Amino acid sequence: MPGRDRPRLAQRATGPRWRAALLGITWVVAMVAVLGLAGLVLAWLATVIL
Amino acid sequence: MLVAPTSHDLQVVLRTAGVALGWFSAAMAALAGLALSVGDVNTATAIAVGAAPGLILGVMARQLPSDRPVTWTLGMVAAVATWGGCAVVGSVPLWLSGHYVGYHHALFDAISGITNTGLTLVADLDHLARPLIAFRALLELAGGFAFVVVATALFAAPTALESSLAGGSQRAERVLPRTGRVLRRARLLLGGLFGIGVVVVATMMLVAGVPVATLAWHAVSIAAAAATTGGFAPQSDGMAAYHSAGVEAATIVLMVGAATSLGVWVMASRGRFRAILHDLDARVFAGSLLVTLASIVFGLARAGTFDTVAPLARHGLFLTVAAATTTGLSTVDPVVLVNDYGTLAPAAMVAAMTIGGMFASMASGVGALRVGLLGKGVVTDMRELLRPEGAVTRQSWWRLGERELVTDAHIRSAATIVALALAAILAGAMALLWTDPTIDLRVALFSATSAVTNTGLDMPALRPDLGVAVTLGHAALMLLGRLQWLAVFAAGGFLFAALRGHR
Repeated sequence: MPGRDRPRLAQRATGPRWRAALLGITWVVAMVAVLGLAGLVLAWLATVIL
Repeated sequence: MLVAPTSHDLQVVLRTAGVALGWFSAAMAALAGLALSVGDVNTATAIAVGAAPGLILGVMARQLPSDRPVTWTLGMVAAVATWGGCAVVGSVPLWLSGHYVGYHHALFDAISGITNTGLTLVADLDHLARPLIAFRALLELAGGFAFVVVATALFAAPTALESSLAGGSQRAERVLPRTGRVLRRARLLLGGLFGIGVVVVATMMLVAGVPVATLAWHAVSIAAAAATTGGFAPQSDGMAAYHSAGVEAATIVLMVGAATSLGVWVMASRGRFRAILHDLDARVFAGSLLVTLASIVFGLARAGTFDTVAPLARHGLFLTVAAATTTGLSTVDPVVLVNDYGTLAPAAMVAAMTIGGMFASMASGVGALRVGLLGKGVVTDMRELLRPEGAVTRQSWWRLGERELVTDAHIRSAATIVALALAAILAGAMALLWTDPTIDLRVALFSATSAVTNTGLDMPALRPDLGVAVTLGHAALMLLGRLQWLAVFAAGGFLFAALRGHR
C-alpha cells in the first residue's frame, strides 16, 4: 500500500548509487516500451478498422 | 497597506540572479574557448562578447551580502530576473551571427532556448556555425536545470496546491536550505540523462550513417534537446534528417525521462514502483500519453497519411511523446503537418501540449497534476449533487507515496493556472490572426499553444519575416508559460510595491 511509504522523500536512499540509477532508467524504459507496444496495437487496429 | 521592498530585499534579488547569471556566462566563456579551439574565431568572439557583461555582473553580485534569507517572493523575483538576464546575454551571440533579420528575432530565439521551447526564427539553419549549435544546447541545458530547481524549490508557492506539494511551505520560509538538496538531485538527473543520452544518440547516429566529423555536434544538440524538453534540432528537416528509428527511440526515452518529475525519479530509483502507479501526477501523464497516442494514430489513419502499421506506429509514437512532453522535436515538416496530417492528430497534439508533463519536471504545459486535481474537483461536485443534502464528500489523491485530501484551495489554484494558460493561448492565436490574414485558425491555435506551453512544435506561422510586435509578444508568452505565471505575478507585485508602496 502506498501509504506505507511515509515519510515521502525524507528517508535516505539505501544501496549503491548505480543500483538507484539502474532502477530509475529501467522504470522510464519500461514506460516507453509499454507505450511503444500500445502504439503498435493501436496502429494495427487503425489499419484494420479504417 | 502595500509595503515597499527594502534595500536588503533588492540585494537578495540582485545577488541570487547575478550569481546565476555569472555561472551561465562562465559556461558561455568555456564554450567560446571551445569555438576557438575548433578555429571558429568569429563565433568565439560573438559568444565572448555576450558572456563578458554577464561575468562582470556575476562577480559584482558576489560582493553583495549573502547572509540575508531568500524568501519565496524574493526567490520568484530572482527567478524572473535570472531568466530575463540570461535571455539578453544569450541573445548577443545569436544576433552577432548574422543569421537573424533583427535583434528581436535573436532575442526570441534566446528566450526560446532558455525557456526550453525550441521554436526558432533563424535564417538558414542548415548553415549555422557548429559552436552556435552547441550554444543553443547550452541555453537548453541551463534552462532545463534552472527550471527543475526553481519548480521544485520555489514553485512550492504559498498557494494551497503548491504548499501541499512542498509539505507545507510558507511565504516567509527560507528556500535556500531546501534548494541545496534539490540542486544536487537536479544536477544528477540532468547530468545523467544528458550524459547517457549523448552516448546512446551518438551510437545510433553512427549506425545511421551520420558523418563522424559532425557526429558530436548533432549528438550533443539532439541529446540536450530531448533531455531538457528543449526541442531544438540542428537541421531544418528536424529528426527526419537522420532517417533512423534508433535515434528516434533513444530520443523518446530521453523525452519521457525529462517530463518525469524529480520526485517520481527519486521514487523510481528507490524501487517504489507501486507508489508511482498510485501517484496522481504520473497517472494523468500516462493517461495523457495513451489518449494522445490513440488519437494521433487513428487521426493519421483516417486522414490517409499512413496506411501500414510500422510508419503509423513510429510517427504516431514520436509525435505523441514530442507533444505530451512539450519537447517539440518532430519527424515531420511543418508544411506537411498542416496539409497532410488531417485535423484530429494536430488537435490531439494541442491537447497534449496544453496538459504537458509532470509537475516540477523539465516539461512545461499546465502540468498533469493540475489537470488531475481539476478532474478530482469535477468528480467531487458530481458526487455532492447526487448525495443527500448535508452529506460531506471527500476526495483524496496520492502524491509521492502519501495520501492527501482534495481541498477547494487545491482546485482553485489548479483552475487559475489552467484558465490563464488557455487565455494566453487564445491571445497568442488572435495576435497571429491579426497580423497574418493568410493563416487559418487551426495553424494559429497550434502555434500559440506551442509557444505558451514551451513545446516548439511548429506549423508554418512563426517565420523569419514575423513582425516585431508578434515576435516579442510570443517571446513574452514563452516566458510566462515557463515561469508558470506565479513568478511573473510575484515580480510584477515586487515592482509595483517598489514604485507605489510605503517605505
